[in-house]
Amino acid sequence: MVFAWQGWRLEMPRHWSPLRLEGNYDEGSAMVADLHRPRFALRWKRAGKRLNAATWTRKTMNAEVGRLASDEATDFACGSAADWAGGRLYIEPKPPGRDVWIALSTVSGRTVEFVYHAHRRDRILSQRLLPTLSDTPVGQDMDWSVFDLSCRSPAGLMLIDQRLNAGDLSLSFGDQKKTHVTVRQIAVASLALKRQPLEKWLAQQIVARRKYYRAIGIAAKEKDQDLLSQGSRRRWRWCWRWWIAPSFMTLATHDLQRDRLVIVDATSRELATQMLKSVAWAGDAACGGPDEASEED
Amino acid sequence: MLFGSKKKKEELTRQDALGAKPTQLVKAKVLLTEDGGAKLTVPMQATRWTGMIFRLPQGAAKTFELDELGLFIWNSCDGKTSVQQMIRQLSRERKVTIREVEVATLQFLQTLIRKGLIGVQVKQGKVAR
Repeated sequence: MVFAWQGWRLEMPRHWSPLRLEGNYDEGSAMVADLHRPRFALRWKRAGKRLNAATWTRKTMNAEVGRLASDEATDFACGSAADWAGGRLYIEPKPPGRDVWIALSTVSGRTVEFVYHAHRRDRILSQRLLPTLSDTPVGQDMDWSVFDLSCRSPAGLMLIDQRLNAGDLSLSFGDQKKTHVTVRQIAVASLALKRQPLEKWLAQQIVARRKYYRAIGIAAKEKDQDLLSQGSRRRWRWCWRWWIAPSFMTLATHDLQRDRLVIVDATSRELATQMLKSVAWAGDAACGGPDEASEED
Repeated sequence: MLFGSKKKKEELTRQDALGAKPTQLVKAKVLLTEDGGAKLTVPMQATRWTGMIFRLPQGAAKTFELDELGLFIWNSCDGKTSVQQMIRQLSRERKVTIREVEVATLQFLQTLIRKGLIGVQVKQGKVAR
Protein backbone atom coordinates (compact mmCIF):
# COMPACT_ATOMS: atom_id res chain seq x y z
CA MET A 1 0.00 0.00 0.00
CA VAL A 2 1.31 3.43 -0.90
CA PHE A 3 1.29 6.13 1.73
CA ALA A 4 1.87 9.61 0.33
CA TRP A 5 1.59 12.68 2.51
CA GLN A 6 3.05 16.20 2.32
CA GLY A 7 5.52 15.19 -0.38
CA TRP A 8 6.72 12.00 1.34
CA ARG A 9 5.91 8.77 -0.37
CA LEU A 10 6.59 5.20 0.75
CA GLU A 11 5.21 1.72 0.47
CA MET A 12 4.09 -0.05 3.59
CA PRO A 13 2.25 -3.24 4.46
CA ARG A 14 -1.42 -3.20 3.57
CA HIS A 15 -2.80 -3.43 7.08
CA TRP A 16 -0.91 -0.45 8.38
CA SER A 17 -2.72 2.83 8.32
CA PRO A 18 -2.13 6.39 9.49
CA LEU A 19 -3.18 7.07 13.06
CA ARG A 20 -2.16 10.69 13.45
CA LEU A 21 -1.27 13.26 10.80
CA GLU A 22 -0.14 16.69 11.85
CA GLY A 23 1.50 19.78 10.44
CA ASN A 24 2.14 20.99 6.93
CA TYR A 25 4.77 20.66 4.23
CA ASP A 26 7.38 22.60 6.19
CA GLU A 27 6.99 20.87 9.51
CA GLY A 28 4.88 17.98 10.68
CA SER A 29 4.60 14.38 11.69
CA ALA A 30 2.79 11.20 10.77
CA MET A 31 2.22 8.14 12.89
CA VAL A 32 1.30 4.82 11.35
CA ALA A 33 -0.15 1.86 13.25
CA ASP A 34 -1.67 -1.53 12.63
CA LEU A 35 -4.58 -2.98 14.57
CA HIS A 36 -2.46 -3.65 17.63
CA ARG A 37 0.28 -1.06 18.05
CA PRO A 38 2.05 1.93 16.53
CA ARG A 39 4.51 0.84 13.85
CA PHE A 40 6.42 3.92 12.84
CA ALA A 41 6.50 7.69 13.07
CA LEU A 42 7.84 10.14 10.55
CA ARG A 43 8.82 13.65 11.58
CA TRP A 44 10.01 16.33 9.22
CA LYS A 45 11.07 19.96 9.40
CA ARG A 46 12.38 22.48 6.92
CA ALA A 47 16.10 22.87 7.45
CA GLY A 48 17.88 26.20 7.65
CA LYS A 49 20.05 27.19 4.70
CA ARG A 50 23.28 26.80 6.63
CA LEU A 51 22.48 23.43 8.17
CA ASN A 52 25.38 21.00 8.18
CA ALA A 53 23.82 17.61 7.50
CA ALA A 54 26.53 15.54 9.17
CA THR A 55 26.57 17.58 12.39
CA TRP A 56 22.81 17.73 12.57
CA THR A 57 22.32 13.98 12.09
CA ARG A 58 24.94 13.23 14.76
CA LYS A 59 23.30 15.59 17.26
CA THR A 60 19.78 14.38 16.53
CA MET A 61 20.79 10.73 16.74
CA ASN A 62 22.40 11.43 20.13
CA ALA A 63 19.21 13.02 21.35
CA GLU A 64 17.06 10.24 19.93
CA VAL A 65 18.87 7.11 21.11
CA GLY A 66 21.64 8.32 23.42
CA ARG A 67 25.35 8.78 22.87
CA LEU A 68 26.44 5.13 23.29
CA ALA A 69 23.80 3.78 20.95
CA SER A 70 24.37 6.58 18.47
CA ASP A 71 27.98 5.41 18.04
CA GLU A 72 26.61 2.15 16.67
CA ALA A 73 24.58 3.91 13.97
CA THR A 74 25.73 3.34 10.41
CA ASP A 75 25.54 5.43 7.25
CA PHE A 76 22.45 4.55 5.24
CA ALA A 77 21.03 6.33 2.21
CA CYS A 78 17.71 5.03 0.98
CA GLY A 79 16.59 4.94 -2.65
CA SER A 80 18.62 7.36 -4.72
CA ALA A 81 21.70 8.34 -2.67
CA ALA A 82 21.81 11.79 -4.30
CA ASP A 83 18.45 12.67 -2.74
CA TRP A 84 19.69 12.32 0.83
CA ALA A 85 22.52 13.83 2.85
CA GLY A 86 23.97 12.53 6.10
CA GLY A 87 21.66 9.51 6.37
CA ARG A 88 22.32 7.52 9.58
CA LEU A 89 20.56 4.35 10.66
CA TYR A 90 20.45 2.86 14.12
CA ILE A 91 19.04 -0.64 14.57
CA GLU A 92 18.13 -1.66 18.10
CA PRO A 93 20.15 -4.86 18.78
CA LYS A 94 17.76 -6.14 21.48
CA PRO A 95 14.12 -5.47 20.58
CA PRO A 96 11.59 -4.38 21.63
CA GLY A 97 13.00 -0.96 20.96
CA ARG A 98 13.23 1.78 18.37
CA ASP A 99 15.08 1.70 15.09
CA VAL A 100 15.87 5.22 13.95
CA TRP A 101 16.86 6.68 10.59
CA ILE A 102 17.75 10.34 10.24
CA ALA A 103 18.62 12.26 7.09
CA LEU A 104 18.37 15.52 5.23
CA SER A 105 16.42 15.44 1.99
CA THR A 106 18.25 17.40 -0.67
CA VAL A 107 15.10 17.32 -2.82
CA SER A 108 12.98 19.50 -0.56
CA GLY A 109 15.54 20.72 1.99
CA ARG A 110 13.68 19.08 4.86
CA THR A 111 15.14 17.02 7.66
CA VAL A 112 13.43 13.72 8.33
CA GLU A 113 13.41 11.43 11.35
CA PHE A 114 12.01 7.95 10.82
CA VAL A 115 11.36 6.02 14.01
CA TYR A 116 10.31 2.40 13.66
CA HIS A 117 8.94 0.60 16.72
CA ALA A 118 10.59 -2.81 16.50
CA HIS A 119 8.52 -5.36 18.39
CA ARG A 120 10.92 -8.15 17.54
CA ARG A 121 13.95 -8.37 15.30
CA ASP A 122 12.96 -7.74 11.72
CA ARG A 123 14.40 -5.79 8.84
CA ILE A 124 11.21 -4.00 7.77
CA LEU A 125 12.70 -0.54 8.22
CA SER A 126 15.93 -1.05 6.29
CA GLN A 127 14.69 -3.53 3.69
CA ARG A 128 11.09 -2.62 3.09
CA LEU A 129 10.23 0.90 4.19
CA LEU A 130 13.34 3.00 3.63
CA PRO A 131 14.13 1.77 0.08
CA THR A 132 10.70 3.02 -1.04
CA LEU A 133 10.85 6.39 0.71
CA SER A 134 10.99 9.36 -1.63
CA ASP A 135 10.43 13.09 -1.42
CA THR A 136 8.78 15.68 -3.69
CA PRO A 137 9.94 19.29 -4.11
CA VAL A 138 7.45 22.17 -3.73
CA GLY A 139 7.31 23.09 -7.40
CA GLN A 140 6.01 19.72 -8.62
CA ASP A 141 2.64 17.99 -8.68
CA MET A 142 2.30 16.24 -5.34
CA ASP A 143 1.02 12.73 -4.74
CA TRP A 144 -1.38 12.07 -1.90
CA SER A 145 -2.46 8.65 -0.71
CA VAL A 146 -4.06 8.12 2.63
CA PHE A 147 -6.32 5.20 3.56
CA ASP A 148 -7.82 4.42 0.16
CA LEU A 149 -8.05 7.98 -1.11
CA SER A 150 -5.32 8.88 -3.53
CA CYS A 151 -5.04 11.96 -5.71
CA ARG A 152 -2.44 14.28 -7.21
CA SER A 153 -2.48 17.99 -6.37
CA PRO A 154 -1.18 20.43 -8.98
CA ALA A 155 2.07 22.27 -8.26
CA GLY A 156 1.63 25.25 -5.97
CA LEU A 157 -1.42 23.95 -4.13
CA MET A 158 -0.93 23.00 -0.50
CA LEU A 159 -3.12 20.98 1.79
CA ILE A 160 -5.37 23.31 3.78
CA ASP A 161 -7.89 20.92 5.30
CA GLN A 162 -8.32 17.20 5.83
CA ARG A 163 -11.35 15.26 7.06
CA LEU A 164 -10.57 11.62 7.36
CA ASN A 165 -13.70 10.02 8.76
CA ALA A 166 -14.35 6.32 8.36
CA GLY A 167 -15.98 5.93 4.96
CA ASP A 168 -15.90 9.65 4.17
CA LEU A 169 -12.46 11.00 3.30
CA SER A 170 -11.79 14.47 2.03
CA LEU A 171 -8.73 16.58 1.28
CA SER A 172 -8.80 20.29 0.42
CA PHE A 173 -6.00 22.12 -1.34
CA GLY A 174 -5.50 25.80 -1.97
CA ASP A 175 -2.96 28.51 -2.65
CA GLN A 176 -2.45 32.13 -1.65
CA LYS A 177 -4.67 33.25 -4.52
CA LYS A 178 -8.23 32.13 -5.17
CA THR A 179 -7.50 28.59 -6.32
CA HIS A 180 -9.18 25.94 -4.25
CA VAL A 181 -10.01 22.29 -4.79
CA THR A 182 -11.59 19.64 -2.57
CA VAL A 183 -11.63 15.89 -3.20
CA ARG A 184 -14.13 13.79 -1.30
CA GLN A 185 -14.45 10.02 -1.46
CA ILE A 186 -17.32 8.10 0.06
CA ALA A 187 -17.21 4.36 0.66
CA VAL A 188 -19.04 2.06 0.13
CA ALA A 189 -20.83 3.66 -2.83
CA SER A 190 -23.52 1.00 -3.20
CA LEU A 191 -24.62 1.65 0.39
CA ALA A 192 -24.28 5.42 0.09
CA LEU A 193 -26.44 5.45 -3.03
CA LYS A 194 -29.15 3.50 -1.24
CA ARG A 195 -29.34 6.32 1.27
CA GLN A 196 -29.59 9.08 -1.35
CA PRO A 197 -28.95 9.42 -5.10
CA LEU A 198 -25.78 10.89 -6.58
CA GLU A 199 -27.60 14.17 -7.33
CA LYS A 200 -28.20 14.69 -3.62
CA TRP A 201 -24.60 13.93 -2.72
CA LEU A 202 -23.59 16.57 -5.25
CA ALA A 203 -26.11 19.06 -3.87
CA GLN A 204 -24.89 18.39 -0.34
CA GLN A 205 -21.40 19.46 -1.37
CA ILE A 206 -22.71 22.72 -2.83
CA VAL A 207 -24.95 23.43 0.17
CA ALA A 208 -21.87 23.51 2.41
CA ARG A 209 -20.85 26.74 0.64
CA ARG A 210 -24.33 28.25 0.38
CA LYS A 211 -23.45 31.32 2.43
CA TYR A 212 -21.24 32.68 -0.35
CA TYR A 213 -22.32 30.74 -3.44
CA ARG A 214 -25.56 29.76 -5.11
CA ALA A 215 -26.02 26.86 -7.48
CA ILE A 216 -26.59 27.61 -11.16
CA GLY A 217 -29.33 25.54 -12.78
CA ILE A 218 -29.60 21.85 -12.07
CA ALA A 219 -27.01 19.08 -12.06
CA ALA A 220 -26.15 18.06 -15.60
CA LYS A 221 -25.10 14.61 -16.68
CA GLU A 222 -22.08 14.51 -18.99
CA LYS A 223 -22.79 12.98 -22.37
CA ASP A 224 -20.19 10.28 -22.66
CA GLN A 225 -19.54 9.39 -19.06
CA ASP A 226 -21.26 8.67 -15.78
CA LEU A 227 -20.45 12.09 -14.39
CA LEU A 228 -22.65 14.75 -12.83
CA SER A 229 -21.60 18.38 -12.84
CA GLN A 230 -22.99 21.57 -11.42
CA GLY A 231 -21.63 25.08 -11.20
CA SER A 232 -22.15 27.64 -8.47
CA ARG A 233 -21.59 31.38 -8.51
CA ARG A 234 -20.66 33.87 -5.83
CA ARG A 235 -23.76 35.58 -4.44
CA TRP A 236 -24.30 39.13 -5.55
CA ARG A 237 -24.17 40.46 -2.01
CA TRP A 238 -20.61 39.18 -1.68
CA CYS A 239 -19.39 40.72 -4.93
CA TRP A 240 -17.11 43.07 -3.00
CA ARG A 241 -15.21 40.10 -1.60
CA TRP A 242 -12.63 40.06 -4.38
CA TRP A 243 -10.45 37.58 -2.47
CA ILE A 244 -12.88 34.67 -2.76
CA ALA A 245 -13.25 32.81 -6.04
CA PRO A 246 -16.14 34.02 -8.24
CA SER A 247 -17.35 30.52 -9.10
CA PHE A 248 -17.01 26.84 -8.31
CA MET A 249 -17.51 23.70 -10.36
CA THR A 250 -18.55 20.49 -8.64
CA LEU A 251 -18.22 17.07 -10.26
CA ALA A 252 -19.54 13.82 -8.85
CA THR A 253 -19.13 10.31 -10.14
CA HIS A 254 -19.63 6.73 -9.09
CA ASP A 255 -16.41 4.76 -9.52
CA LEU A 256 -17.95 1.39 -10.27
CA GLN A 257 -14.67 -0.49 -10.28
CA ARG A 258 -13.76 0.56 -6.75
CA ASP A 259 -17.34 1.07 -5.55
CA ARG A 260 -16.64 4.59 -4.33
CA LEU A 261 -18.38 7.94 -4.80
CA VAL A 262 -15.93 10.65 -5.79
CA ILE A 263 -16.88 14.32 -5.52
CA VAL A 264 -14.53 17.07 -6.65
CA ASP A 265 -15.18 20.72 -5.97
CA ALA A 266 -12.85 23.26 -7.60
CA THR A 267 -12.65 26.88 -8.60
CA SER A 268 -12.38 25.96 -12.28
CA ARG A 269 -13.66 23.14 -14.44
CA GLU A 270 -10.16 22.28 -15.71
CA LEU A 271 -8.83 21.93 -12.20
CA ALA A 272 -11.79 19.77 -11.15
CA THR A 273 -11.37 17.50 -14.18
CA GLN A 274 -7.62 17.22 -13.66
CA MET A 275 -8.11 16.32 -10.01
CA LEU A 276 -10.85 13.81 -10.77
CA LYS A 277 -8.61 12.05 -13.29
CA SER A 278 -5.85 11.70 -10.72
CA VAL A 279 -8.08 10.11 -8.09
CA ALA A 280 -7.17 6.47 -7.35
CA TRP A 281 -3.71 6.66 -8.95
CA ALA A 282 -2.53 4.29 -6.21
CA GLY A 283 -5.21 1.77 -7.17
CA ASP A 284 -7.29 -0.02 -4.57
CA ALA A 285 -4.32 -1.86 -3.14
CA ALA A 286 -5.07 -0.10 0.11
CA CYS A 287 -7.45 -2.75 1.22
CA GLY A 288 -8.45 -6.28 0.58
CA GLY A 289 -6.41 -9.44 0.65
CA PRO A 290 -4.10 -10.81 3.27
CA ASP A 291 -0.74 -9.30 3.91
CA GLU A 292 2.29 -11.08 5.27
CA ALA A 293 3.18 -8.31 7.73
CA SER A 294 -0.28 -8.29 9.24
CA GLU A 295 -0.58 -12.03 9.51
CA GLU A 296 2.55 -12.19 11.60
CA ASP A 297 0.59 -11.09 14.70
CA MET B 1 -5.47 -0.04 55.81
CA LEU B 2 -8.56 0.66 57.92
CA PHE B 3 -11.25 -0.90 55.74
CA GLY B 4 -9.09 -3.35 53.87
CA SER B 5 -7.58 -2.87 50.47
CA LYS B 6 -9.86 -2.17 47.57
CA LYS B 7 -9.37 -4.52 44.68
CA LYS B 8 -8.03 -2.79 41.64
CA LYS B 9 -10.29 -3.01 38.62
CA GLU B 10 -8.69 -4.95 35.82
CA GLU B 11 -8.37 -2.71 32.78
CA LEU B 12 -9.25 -3.89 29.33
CA THR B 13 -6.36 -3.78 26.92
CA ARG B 14 -6.75 -3.18 23.22
CA GLN B 15 -5.68 -6.76 22.60
CA ASP B 16 -8.50 -7.98 24.88
CA ALA B 17 -11.08 -5.80 23.16
CA LEU B 18 -10.11 -7.04 19.69
CA GLY B 19 -10.03 -10.64 20.80
CA ALA B 20 -13.47 -10.43 22.44
CA LYS B 21 -16.28 -12.53 21.00
CA PRO B 22 -19.61 -10.71 21.09
CA THR B 23 -22.73 -12.78 21.49
CA GLN B 24 -26.41 -12.00 20.98
CA LEU B 25 -28.32 -11.52 24.24
CA VAL B 26 -31.82 -11.40 22.81
CA LYS B 27 -33.82 -13.60 20.51
CA ALA B 28 -34.68 -11.24 17.72
CA LYS B 29 -36.93 -11.82 14.75
CA VAL B 30 -34.95 -10.94 11.65
CA LEU B 31 -36.94 -9.66 8.69
CA LEU B 32 -34.77 -9.17 5.62
CA THR B 33 -35.44 -6.03 3.60
CA GLU B 34 -35.08 -5.43 -0.13
CA ASP B 35 -31.96 -3.29 0.19
CA GLY B 36 -29.99 -6.14 1.75
CA GLY B 37 -30.50 -4.95 5.30
CA ALA B 38 -32.87 -6.25 7.94
CA LYS B 39 -35.34 -5.28 10.62
CA LEU B 40 -34.69 -6.76 14.04
CA THR B 41 -37.74 -7.11 16.22
CA VAL B 42 -36.90 -7.56 19.87
CA PRO B 43 -39.49 -8.19 22.61
CA MET B 44 -39.52 -5.37 25.16
CA GLN B 45 -38.83 -6.17 28.77
CA ALA B 46 -39.78 -3.87 31.61
CA THR B 47 -36.95 -3.00 33.94
CA ARG B 48 -37.38 -3.31 37.68
CA TRP B 49 -38.60 0.23 38.37
CA THR B 50 -40.55 0.89 35.23
CA GLY B 51 -42.25 -2.48 35.72
CA MET B 52 -43.69 -1.19 38.98
CA ILE B 53 -45.11 1.97 37.43
CA PHE B 54 -46.08 0.90 33.91
CA ARG B 55 -47.35 -2.34 32.62
CA LEU B 56 -46.10 -3.33 29.20
CA PRO B 57 -48.77 -4.63 26.85
CA GLN B 58 -48.32 -8.21 25.76
CA GLY B 59 -46.22 -8.60 22.65
CA ALA B 60 -44.67 -5.13 22.94
CA ALA B 61 -41.56 -5.07 20.80
CA LYS B 62 -38.86 -2.72 19.60
CA THR B 63 -37.67 -2.71 16.02
CA PHE B 64 -34.14 -1.87 14.94
CA GLU B 65 -33.31 -1.25 11.31
CA LEU B 66 -29.93 -2.47 10.12
CA ASP B 67 -28.21 -1.91 6.80
CA GLU B 68 -26.15 -4.56 4.99
CA LEU B 69 -23.07 -4.04 7.11
CA GLY B 70 -25.07 -3.89 10.31
CA LEU B 71 -26.70 -7.21 9.47
CA PHE B 72 -23.31 -8.75 8.76
CA ILE B 73 -22.06 -7.71 12.19
CA TRP B 74 -25.27 -8.84 13.90
CA ASN B 75 -24.92 -12.27 12.30
CA SER B 76 -21.26 -12.41 13.28
CA CYS B 77 -22.15 -11.91 16.95
CA ASP B 78 -22.37 -15.65 17.52
CA GLY B 79 -19.95 -15.99 20.42
CA LYS B 80 -17.39 -17.64 18.16
CA THR B 81 -16.21 -14.80 15.94
CA SER B 82 -13.86 -12.27 17.49
CA VAL B 83 -14.06 -8.54 16.83
CA GLN B 84 -10.75 -8.72 15.00
CA GLN B 85 -12.04 -11.46 12.69
CA MET B 86 -15.13 -9.36 11.92
CA ILE B 87 -12.96 -6.36 11.07
CA ARG B 88 -10.65 -8.34 8.79
CA GLN B 89 -13.51 -10.09 7.02
CA LEU B 90 -15.42 -6.86 6.45
CA SER B 91 -12.30 -5.14 5.18
CA ARG B 92 -11.64 -7.97 2.73
CA GLU B 93 -15.21 -8.21 1.48
CA ARG B 94 -15.94 -4.49 1.15
CA LYS B 95 -12.43 -3.46 0.15
CA VAL B 96 -12.25 -0.78 2.79
CA THR B 97 -9.09 -0.10 4.78
CA ILE B 98 -8.79 -1.90 8.08
CA ARG B 99 -8.65 1.32 10.11
CA GLU B 100 -11.90 2.62 8.60
CA VAL B 101 -13.66 -0.68 9.24
CA GLU B 102 -12.28 -0.83 12.77
CA VAL B 103 -13.63 2.59 13.71
CA ALA B 104 -17.08 1.91 12.27
CA THR B 105 -17.35 -1.62 13.66
CA LEU B 106 -16.30 -0.72 17.20
CA GLN B 107 -18.74 2.20 17.22
CA PHE B 108 -21.57 -0.04 16.03
CA LEU B 109 -20.76 -2.77 18.55
CA GLN B 110 -20.80 -0.19 21.34
CA THR B 111 -24.26 0.91 20.20
CA LEU B 112 -25.50 -2.68 20.23
CA ILE B 113 -24.08 -3.19 23.72
CA ARG B 114 -25.73 0.02 24.95
CA LYS B 115 -29.08 -1.13 23.57
CA GLY B 116 -28.66 -4.45 25.37
CA LEU B 117 -28.71 -6.49 22.19
CA ILE B 118 -25.28 -8.06 22.53
CA GLY B 119 -22.86 -8.85 25.31
CA VAL B 120 -19.12 -9.30 25.23
CA GLN B 121 -17.24 -11.77 27.38
CA VAL B 122 -13.67 -10.71 27.01
CA LYS B 123 -11.90 -13.10 29.38
CA GLN B 124 -12.83 -14.90 32.57
CA GLY B 125 -13.49 -12.11 35.02
CA LYS B 126 -13.34 -9.30 32.51
CA VAL B 127 -16.58 -7.99 31.11
CA ALA B 128 -16.86 -5.15 28.62
CA ARG B 129 -19.31 -2.43 29.56
